[in-house]
Amino acid sequence: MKLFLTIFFLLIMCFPAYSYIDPGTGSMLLYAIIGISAALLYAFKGYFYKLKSKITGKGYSLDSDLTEYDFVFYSEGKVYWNVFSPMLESLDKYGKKCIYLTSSSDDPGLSYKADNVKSKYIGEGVKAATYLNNVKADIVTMTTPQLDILTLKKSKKVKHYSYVFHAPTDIGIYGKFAFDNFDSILCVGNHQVVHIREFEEKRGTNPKKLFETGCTYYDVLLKKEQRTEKNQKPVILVAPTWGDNSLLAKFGFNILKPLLTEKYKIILRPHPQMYISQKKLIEEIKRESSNYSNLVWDDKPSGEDSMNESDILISDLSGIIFDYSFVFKKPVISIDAPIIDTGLELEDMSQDKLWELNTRDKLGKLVKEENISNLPAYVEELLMLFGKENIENIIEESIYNFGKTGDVAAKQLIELKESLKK
Amino acid sequence: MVEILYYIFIFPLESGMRFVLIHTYNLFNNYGIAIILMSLVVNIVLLPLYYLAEHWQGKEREIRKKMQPELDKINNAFKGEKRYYYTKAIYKRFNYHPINSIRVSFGFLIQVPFFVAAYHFLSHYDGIAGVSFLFINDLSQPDRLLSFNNVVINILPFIMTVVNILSAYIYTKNLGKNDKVQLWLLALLFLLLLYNLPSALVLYWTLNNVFSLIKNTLSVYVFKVKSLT
Repeated sequence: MKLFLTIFFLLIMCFPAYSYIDPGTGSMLLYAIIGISAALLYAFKGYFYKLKSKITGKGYSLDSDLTEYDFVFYSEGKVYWNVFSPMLESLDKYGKKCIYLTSSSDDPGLSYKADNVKSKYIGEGVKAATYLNNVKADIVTMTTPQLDILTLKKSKKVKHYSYVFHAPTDIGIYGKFAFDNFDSILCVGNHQVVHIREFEEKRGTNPKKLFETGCTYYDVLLKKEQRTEKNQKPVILVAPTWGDNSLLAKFGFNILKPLLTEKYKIILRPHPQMYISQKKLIEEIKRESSNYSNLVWDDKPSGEDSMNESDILISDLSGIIFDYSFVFKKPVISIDAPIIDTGLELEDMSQDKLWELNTRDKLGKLVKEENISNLPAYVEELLMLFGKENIENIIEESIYNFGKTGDVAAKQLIELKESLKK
Repeated sequence: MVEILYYIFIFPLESGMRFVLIHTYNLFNNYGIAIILMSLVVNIVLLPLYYLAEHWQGKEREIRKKMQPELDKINNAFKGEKRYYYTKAIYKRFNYHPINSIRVSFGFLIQVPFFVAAYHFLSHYDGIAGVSFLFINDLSQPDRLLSFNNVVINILPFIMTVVNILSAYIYTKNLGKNDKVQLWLLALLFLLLLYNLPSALVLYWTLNNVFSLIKNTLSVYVFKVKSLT
């Protein structure tokens, strides 16, 4: 209908080409022509992408009615199972019916056995989006940001969308408009609450219900943490984030070379997303490091083995620096390089406010990018001088309900469900 | 089909114009003055609608101005499908759709039937054939006021253009360079389009421009409107 109207008006505009025009009208005419062309292009693009996702998601447009479940969870991949499992365990205990939808065919959640919890594999990418865009449910909780921004849309048949943070990291490092369209958010710490509210005010979006929840997967990680003696020759875990701000993207093999030359055992654990989004970089580093037998790659879904085995972590802004510090209480070296904020929420907030930037130097040592060749010396120095006292204070100040989050989250979701009934 | 459209949109206006022209002619016994008064009546009728259109255009520009920094960031960071989706998210937040820009053209669209009516009426109106007014010999013909050897030049379209450019100068006083250049070029384009039409029509349109100039001058210099948009 809109397209028809556009064409109709465009035809009308051509009709009086011979007639008089004054400057005001001329301005309107030009404005209209530019606007109409933009509208047409915009409409065309919209139809094209809609068609594209219909074709690629064909056969998955299931009209799934999940209203028999109290809660629906969606996980983008198996790495997030530990975010959901503590909640699911508690909800099962309270007799609430849940379904766990996942985009990993080998998600541990698929073999999880509980009286009230079912699980289901719904495919990846567009296929998963097509399924979710048509689902019927009361509350859908997910770790996937940017709802209703990219291909994952809000289903008209879902009453409430809830986001659950999977790291204590601040909202600035997420993609544009990451949380704008959720109805509620289970937050890890006060910094997230403060900044979400600031964005709501700045953008004039509806205030969301924000829960003081905590980091659910810390419950799991704490159980897996084993107190081990320090290794004689330090074992170093290198675990960068993915994307432009990854230290592997910025420094490549140069970050590993001085450490490998000093014969430290290095466990390299790139962010799981890197194997998908930055394949070439991974291949390049594999090629360059092939002669070093002291480099071990870790691509397990969960990183607790490496975190247990290692003595120190080198990373960037990845959320792992907080897991390592808060749960394993070991020192962290963060590489201080300028943050590329293109396409991130950070473009709309001051970098000085970013919680991780103000916190990471307290977890160990912050090393300037020009000093990365001195990393071996910093490792030795930090292992000698590191004290854990600071860490407890940071947890107390910044993380809600540390170690007992799953149950808190479950109770909050039940409360939410009750409030929706009213 | 065209005939039906004519009787719905054009005929009533044409009848109104005919009514005004004939009655003012009866009053002053002068077709030149009658055309001037007809143009004045049409402009007064259009004034509130034109004001509404200006208001809408101003609103549209304001929203676009607010959105622009956000859109720039998106265009800088993304291409293709992602750029489309992020842009859509921004439009949604600002409650905007590019189709809204059609509303802006209302000011133009509302004038279209008046133009067509004037054109249809004056180019077929026998009363003005052979009638002179001021320096114009025949209102039903181009003015042909200057001639060098075999080259004949019409003067009235140039007068209309001068008024048009003056009006554009005042209208675009607070606008960007692009807006100015576009409007000046349009003034020149319409000089070419109207050059050979009957001088009664050019006179009518020149007066429309004079009223537009007065309106713009009053807005900018008397009522101190910061920007006409």
